[in-house]
Amino acid sequence: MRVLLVEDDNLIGDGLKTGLSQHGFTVDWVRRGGEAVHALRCEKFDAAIFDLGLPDMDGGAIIVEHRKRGGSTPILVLTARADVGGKIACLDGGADDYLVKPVDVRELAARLRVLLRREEGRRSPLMLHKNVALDPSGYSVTVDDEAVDLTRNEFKILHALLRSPGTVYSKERLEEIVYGWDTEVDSNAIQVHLHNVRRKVGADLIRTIRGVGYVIERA
Amino acid sequence: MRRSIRSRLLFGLTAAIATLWVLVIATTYLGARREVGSLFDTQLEQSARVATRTMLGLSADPAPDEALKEQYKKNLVIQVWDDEGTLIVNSMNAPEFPLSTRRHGFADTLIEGERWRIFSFYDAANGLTIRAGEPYRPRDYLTGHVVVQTLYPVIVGLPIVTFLIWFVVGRGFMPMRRLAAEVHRRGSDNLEQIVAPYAPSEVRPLVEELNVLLARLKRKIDNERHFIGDAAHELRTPLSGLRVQAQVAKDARGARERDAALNNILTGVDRAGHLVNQLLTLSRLDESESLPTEDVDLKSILQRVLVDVLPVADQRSVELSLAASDRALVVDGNPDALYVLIRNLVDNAVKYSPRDREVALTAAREERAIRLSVTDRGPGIPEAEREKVFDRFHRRHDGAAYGSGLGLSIARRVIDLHHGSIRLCAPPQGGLTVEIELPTKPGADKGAKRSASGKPSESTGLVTQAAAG
Repeated sequence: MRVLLVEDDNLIGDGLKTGLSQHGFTVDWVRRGGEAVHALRCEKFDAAIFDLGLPDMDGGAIIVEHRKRGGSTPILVLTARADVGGKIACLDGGADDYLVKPVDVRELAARLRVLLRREEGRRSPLMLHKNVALDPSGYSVTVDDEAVDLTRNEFKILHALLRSPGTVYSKERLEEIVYGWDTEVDSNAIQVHLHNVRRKVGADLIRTIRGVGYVIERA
Repeated sequence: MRRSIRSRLLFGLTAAIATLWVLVIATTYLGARREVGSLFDTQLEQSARVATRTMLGLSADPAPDEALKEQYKKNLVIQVWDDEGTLIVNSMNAPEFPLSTRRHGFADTLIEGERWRIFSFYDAANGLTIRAGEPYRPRDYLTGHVVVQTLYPVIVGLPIVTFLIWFVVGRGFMPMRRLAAEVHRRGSDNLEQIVAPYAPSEVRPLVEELNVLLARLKRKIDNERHFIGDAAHELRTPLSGLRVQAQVAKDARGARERDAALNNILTGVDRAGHLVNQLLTLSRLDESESLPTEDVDLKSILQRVLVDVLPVADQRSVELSLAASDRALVVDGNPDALYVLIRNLVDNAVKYSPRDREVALTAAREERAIRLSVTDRGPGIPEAEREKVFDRFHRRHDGAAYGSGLGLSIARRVIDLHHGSIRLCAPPQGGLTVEIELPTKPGADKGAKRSASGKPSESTGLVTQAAAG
């Protein structure tokens, strides 16, 4: 899951970035409203976390603008302001959830998972596909009720593909999901991860479409 | 406790009225006695002459005995003396001695312990001295009667008047009671203006002053409430950061991640500590309308600030320079507050200064003020924002530099307490110059006298608070 974090405070931003990555998220962090607008417009995120009091722009206004343009990224607002009026304005302005600082990283992660679930139209916390079950909160995968041990990055890839069966993910898209902006990625890293996933959960689950990408067929 | 205005008015007014009545009664008594006296005297004289004529057979009136009896009823006594001093005629109730020593006119005498009024005249034709007398008793009785008649309404009226005064004064104080009740009903959170159209003109100034006080209190409390709200909000940010970082450290996937988080926690604690110190400094400065002052040599304060800031400046490879006039720069001020002021300005300058650039301090005497300036080569502040940076918790988002957003608010507060001025301007070579002017004490040109110093006095604790950042 790739998340955009918009937070001007270094301490919080750095903490959330690391903290969420401990919970299996890939976090891209920007400090300014302008960068957030640009990122939302140009790249695909599974969710975004917004601080409202940004130095250059108002976070709420960015959300409203994003929705007006048809943006559908699930957005969670994270702010120190706890007044009900502000919450209502935010939620009615297009935010999907609202958390008041200080925040527990685990709760934030759980709420992000809820947002993703809602996005997929899924009620069950487990992602089920044929004989494969993935638990996003426990980072565990079972095949035919047998636990399968995946690395963090392998888990991220399987999770992404399972989120929308039938959707083809390019190699670049998977790179973004796994690494975000930060890391210099080996050109064949994704293929290596995919190879391992196939080896662990079954070779026929993920299909390669040459020159396009990878897909899990609809059940 | 003081007696109530009501009872004071009651006693005062009653006493005044009683005094007035005593005067009235006294004059009435004196007047009545005079009037009655002259009336009775005329009557006595007339009676004496008539009786004498009757007795001496000069009148056709009833016989002398009858006349005497008649007079006796009237309480009149008559003596007729001849020139030899023989008592010729004496009415039955009269004493044997002369009623009066006078030959003519009125006199008072005591007979058997009672006061008598005597009229004497000399009948030259017969060589007789006639003396007629009557007791004062009827006169006194009549005079007394007149006085009692006057006194009567007073005796009946005094309680009524007292009650009326009590009532009227009580009614007069009704607006006060209403006002008191209105103030009493208020909760501690109601600092709205008192509206009392019923207040009489005597009470109006009190109401107006109360309202001025209420307005001032309300402003102060509102400010404080905002300040506390802002402060809590500002503290929540570093605390949120600390919480997140602590969680990261706890769930760290390796030593490097944990160390990074722990370092971040240290930074965050320092930041929160700095914020708390600045808040304390500001709240202390806010509390006081004025600070205890002494002769302070700004140059020594500047030097002390430079010494204290040097380590940070070195770490950032920022060079500090001071150009000060050779003369002592003495102002009448509070050394701790002035240290905090200059420290904040220099801290800011160092924080915003690019590496390997200079932060320049100047200090010079003007005619009536000492002018200090701190110049950095940092990003500067756009003109439109230069007023806003003095607002509390206003923080400029132009770099990774952390601040409490209070430094310049504190600076301005210190300046205000010293009746000085502060302004921001852009030097031609870029960056920011903060210029302050502190008025000099009249007659302090001779330089630092007595203990003029920049040493911290332990009294206010401002220095230690500010230096922690």
